[in-house]
Amino acid sequence: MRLRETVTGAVRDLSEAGAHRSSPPAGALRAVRDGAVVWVFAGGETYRLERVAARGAAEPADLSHDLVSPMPGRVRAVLVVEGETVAKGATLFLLEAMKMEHPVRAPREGVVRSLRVAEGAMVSAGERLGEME
Amino acid sequence: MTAARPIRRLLVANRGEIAVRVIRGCRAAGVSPVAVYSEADRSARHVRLADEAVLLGPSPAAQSYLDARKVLTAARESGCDAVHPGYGFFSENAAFARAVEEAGLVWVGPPPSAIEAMGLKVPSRERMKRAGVPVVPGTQELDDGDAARRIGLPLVVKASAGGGGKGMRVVRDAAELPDAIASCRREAEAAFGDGTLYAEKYLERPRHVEVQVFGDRHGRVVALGERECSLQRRHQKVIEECPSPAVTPALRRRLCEAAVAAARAVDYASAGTVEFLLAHDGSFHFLEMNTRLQVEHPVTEEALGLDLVVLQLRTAAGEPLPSDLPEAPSAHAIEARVYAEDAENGFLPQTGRLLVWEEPSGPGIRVDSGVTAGDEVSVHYDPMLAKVIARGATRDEARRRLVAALGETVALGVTTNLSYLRRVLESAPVAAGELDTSLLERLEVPPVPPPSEAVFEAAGRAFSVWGAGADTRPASIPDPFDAGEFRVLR
Repeated sequence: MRLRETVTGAVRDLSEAGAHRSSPPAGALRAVRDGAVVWVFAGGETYRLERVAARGAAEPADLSHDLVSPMPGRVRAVLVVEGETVAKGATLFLLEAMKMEHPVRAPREGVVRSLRVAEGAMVSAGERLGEME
Repeated sequence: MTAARPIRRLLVANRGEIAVRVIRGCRAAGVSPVAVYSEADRSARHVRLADEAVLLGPSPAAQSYLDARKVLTAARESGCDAVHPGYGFFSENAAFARAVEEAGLVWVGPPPSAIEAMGLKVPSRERMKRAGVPVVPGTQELDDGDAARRIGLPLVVKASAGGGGKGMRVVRDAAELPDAIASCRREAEAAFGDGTLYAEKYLERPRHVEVQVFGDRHGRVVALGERECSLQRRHQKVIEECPSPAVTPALRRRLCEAAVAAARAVDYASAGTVEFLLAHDGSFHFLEMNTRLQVEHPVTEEALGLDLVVLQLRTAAGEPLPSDLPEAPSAHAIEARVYAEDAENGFLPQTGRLLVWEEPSGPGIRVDSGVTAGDEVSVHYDPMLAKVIARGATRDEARRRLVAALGETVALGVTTNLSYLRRVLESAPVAAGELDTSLLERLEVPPVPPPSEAVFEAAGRAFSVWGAGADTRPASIPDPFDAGEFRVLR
């Protein structure tokens, strides 16, 4: 089992024996699973771990065409139209959550192939906002 | 002189930690608290603690907590004789305060006229000048080229209509002034359609020091010491303390005198805060007055041994302020604001279900929180989950207690700034009390320590607990009391 800790980016391969080891490790920890994520509290720090593909396994599908919402919130503005050519770093969407505004920028130069959200839409973190060619 | 009007039942027109705080003040004063809530807050902590709770409407604040008609109807129909606004929402809304009074209810806050007088920055600045309160020296007469001599360098040229850093030029050399005026005017005209400029003295790395003031309805206004709130990010306070490590007893007397003069100038009553910028040379300048109970009021309460909400309730009912109020702190208190935000990723606000929430305790520790385990942290409201406050005989004792308390706080399911707060409190300038309003922007806090092997092993076991089908489980939110939560002990 390969695990990635998302706060620090640390990755570790656990043997199945390690994952199932019955003797608990040193130190008092707190762990809770939330679907695809496990949260661990240890030594005053909070870690968030997810399973990633093991070394040598197929890489996950390339999602680089997707424009993804980095946070949950409301789409305050859609600043491009489908078919528009945009420069790298151009602001495509403005998201708003909890009194903060956050721009979603073009990851590279290209054409906006499709838009999946309109102004005013509520989106969740990781939701697809549109695609680039 | 206002006749005494006892408060028996009070509507708490807010949510989250401040609603809980006001409810606790009601209990201490023998007042029956009534909560209001939105659909998202059906089982919220403030709802559970109140004697009665009234549903206002859907989750967006505009349709619930900020719907004046619904809030007033709730107050009337639940038999309340008073309304406490908390902070935010209606707290600095003079029209709402008037509507409360016109409905025959007691408004637990300053007179609506005082809210209005301090609401507009330019007129309030003029009013403060007339009252003899020091404001940042400045001028609107820039064209005679004399501004630099009259204000002194460095100075900052600002667009009158500007804000958020736009249309601002810092000038350190008199020769740069004409160019700065010209370019600032061009930018102001382009950005705001208004090229009106003014210049004021530029304060290098000032401290944010504010004075807690309190007035009763018999014309008595007192100052209850200062707080230092220099640790801010994007003008949002993060860590506050009382007293300020920079304020001597002599400076405290001058700050408190100026704050009382500011409050008297607008016939202030109830709790309020006069904010100042404090320069290195000990000079200070009026920034603004907040006509409400502040988020950071607990550090004053802990350092001076007061309950400001109880004082608000008593004075709103017409009682005079007690004659034996302390003027200076007898302990040191520091508060850290726990936000649902990702400090490692641009401080983006975070949402989700709080699967585990455990609050710290111990000598000198106080937690003002509005959440419990199982709560959903949503996009609808402010991302502040709780305030952890530590009191100590000295600043360092309070600081160490706070670091330990933050390390005891367990929040799983939603990313918080708990670790960031600890690392800030342990940094050298914060430990030394060498604070200023831009410190957090330039402070390099050490990184989160890497997870130990035990962390990976615990996570591996948590993934395995579900068996072979684990990966196909939907990423939905499990019940917080599901078997998925477990404790690994030595």
